[in-house]
Amino acid sequence: MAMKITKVETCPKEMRFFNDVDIETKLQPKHIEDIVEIFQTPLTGSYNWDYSVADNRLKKLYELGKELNWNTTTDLDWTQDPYPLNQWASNPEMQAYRGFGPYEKLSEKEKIEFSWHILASGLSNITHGEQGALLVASQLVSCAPTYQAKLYAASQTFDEARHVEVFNKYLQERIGWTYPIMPGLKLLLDKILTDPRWDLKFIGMQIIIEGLALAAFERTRISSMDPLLKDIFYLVIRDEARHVTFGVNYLEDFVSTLSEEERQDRAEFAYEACVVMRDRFTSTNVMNHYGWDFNEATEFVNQSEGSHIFLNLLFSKIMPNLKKIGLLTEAVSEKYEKMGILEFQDLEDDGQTSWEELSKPLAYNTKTA
Amino acid sequence: MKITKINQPPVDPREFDLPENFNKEHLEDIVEIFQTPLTGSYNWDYTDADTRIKKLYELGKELNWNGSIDLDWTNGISKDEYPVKPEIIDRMEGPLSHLPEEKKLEYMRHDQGWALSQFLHGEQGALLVASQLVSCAPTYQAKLYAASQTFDEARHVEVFARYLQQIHGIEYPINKNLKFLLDKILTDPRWDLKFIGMQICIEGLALAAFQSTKESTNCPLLRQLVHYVIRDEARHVTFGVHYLKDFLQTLTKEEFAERAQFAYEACVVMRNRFVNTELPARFFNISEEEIMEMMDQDESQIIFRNLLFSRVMPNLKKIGLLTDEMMPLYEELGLNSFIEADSDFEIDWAELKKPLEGSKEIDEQSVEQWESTQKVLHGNS
Repeated sequence: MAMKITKVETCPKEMRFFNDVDIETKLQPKHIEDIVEIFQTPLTGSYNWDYSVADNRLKKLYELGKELNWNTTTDLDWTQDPYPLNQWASNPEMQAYRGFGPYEKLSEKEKIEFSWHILASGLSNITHGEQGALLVASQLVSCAPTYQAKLYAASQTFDEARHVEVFNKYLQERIGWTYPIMPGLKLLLDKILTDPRWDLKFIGMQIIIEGLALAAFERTRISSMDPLLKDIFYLVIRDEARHVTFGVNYLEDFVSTLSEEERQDRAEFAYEACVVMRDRFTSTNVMNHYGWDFNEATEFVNQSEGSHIFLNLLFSKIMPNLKKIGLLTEAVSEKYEKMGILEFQDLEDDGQTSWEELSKPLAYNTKTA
Repeated sequence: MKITKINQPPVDPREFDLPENFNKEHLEDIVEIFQTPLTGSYNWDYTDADTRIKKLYELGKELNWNGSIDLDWTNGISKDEYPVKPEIIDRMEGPLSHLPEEKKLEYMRHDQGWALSQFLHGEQGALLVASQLVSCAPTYQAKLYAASQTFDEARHVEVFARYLQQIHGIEYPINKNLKFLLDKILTDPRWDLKFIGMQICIEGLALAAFQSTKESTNCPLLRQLVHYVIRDEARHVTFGVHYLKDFLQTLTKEEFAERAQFAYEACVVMRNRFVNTELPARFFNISEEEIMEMMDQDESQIIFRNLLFSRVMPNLKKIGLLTDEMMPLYEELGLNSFIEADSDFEIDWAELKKPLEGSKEIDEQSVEQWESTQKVLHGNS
């Protein structure tokens, strides 16, 4: 049977629903039609002809990647009753739109439904972001110039695939609908995936987007109510901690081999990526779904305390790492100062790896026997 | 980091006499650059059918062995033992058989070092191709599957490299004809062509060569290592056959003919030119041309080399690339008799799903396989 592939020029803008009928029919391959959006990238790859291995941090990360390789299908218990959709998706005390006019007009039941929309939008974008990470990590296997980095990148590629898998499974089987990718995230992914410079892909993905993801994961893990979802985040965060550690260690070495001009380019790119990420947090697609005024909603959210806490969390992950890899040059420091986030550079960062934390056996609640 | 860029692969073998896990924070890396335009795709439809591709992905996760834990590295042989079974040494003919014992051992060690090194370099090629497939494969399930294969290939590179360095001690650079083919595959903009070259032609051949190594080696560690690699490769070839069969049907007639031509050319390179000429040149001063001539006249060599294609031909047929135009050319190569052979991957799901075997079971199994191969090669005598 020939496969059916629909090529689209831009990413879909509509929500998708998965009802019970869908779930029954989806077991039949003939219903699968793939919707793809093409991108072009010239790749500068390398063979590596020196396979000797030093007993260094990269090797440790690769070894941990093999050992802590959890499996969505067998390591999480999907047989328990699903967390009910008529209860809050996230802690009712932590609703970002509390106090916003149109939100307050909703009934309790509608507010609960709204909390599921916010979660679905968040998880959908995490899934899309993980697909981006999957594509970048896999390109890194070709592009990374050292032997150990190639092996490590292969283990990360597999991690990212399992992340796409687990979030996607949760969305389709437990929530039942998905949202398309947010324009800001898509813009950044396009830039990263098509740029010919591998280290730039890597900075964008491993430092900026994964930094953002880590902050979002930690917040969602705390606010979400479903124990299964909390466990999913626990497992994914364990992997991401390795990825960020790798990114910081490897880029620190690599950026120091660049010329001053090349380094300036990378610093500028990282700054622009931060701007894009800071300004695109509102769940535009949920606002559209509810027919709320996007600008009003954004303004409300940006002024809320929760949003400040999140932005702080986010940049406290990104800034110290940018500093560590040498991308807080004088020229961009001024710009970060204006954004009000330069102060985060000296916070304790995630690149200060605690090897003990990274090496701990996996411990979570809904483990299968 | 220190990176040395070179324009060609190295040419001299390398001997390792390193203490285990030597501790050096910064190694020097020797890299050779290649360029490839990649046509990648985002996939915006994450629905998941219960297809064979999904099953292969699930198996990839379950059977994810770890070379550091699942292989017994104390089970290797020492450098003064023959790397292959004594029967093979006893049966040697020609100039080899007249070498003094010590030289014979050295020759056999270099011979296996050469072969295992080609496996190693081939696995690096497979790693690069599989990882590019994550971007290029158009369907959701294939992207996930390709990610699991990428990780498999990395673990293969890892264990072959470690075996060569810690146990065997001699590593050879990549053979120029294998390199020629890898270059062609890795730099071609058409992903499915990369895939045909790697997954059907090179992996198909590798599978046969791995099998032969598993049967002939004297080293229990290597036997177990190669067995686990074979278990993975069986999934890879199964995926390749199924996915390409579906994908090739979406091509135009002209595009299809290009793929058929390419597959044939890859087979020619592997059949006629992928020969260890380095070793006879080193030990006996025999020129490349002379070796090639001897190989073409040696009946058992011809059988052995053709046998390597027993996995490739049935799969080429399944995906439709043995077109009418190509058939006479394969006939000339002498490979047609394998077309109807069992490809082994007449999807035996029970085989693919089995839990990983222990060292003892693998040893017993390979004795049986060795005996049946000997019958094919040398008759019942």
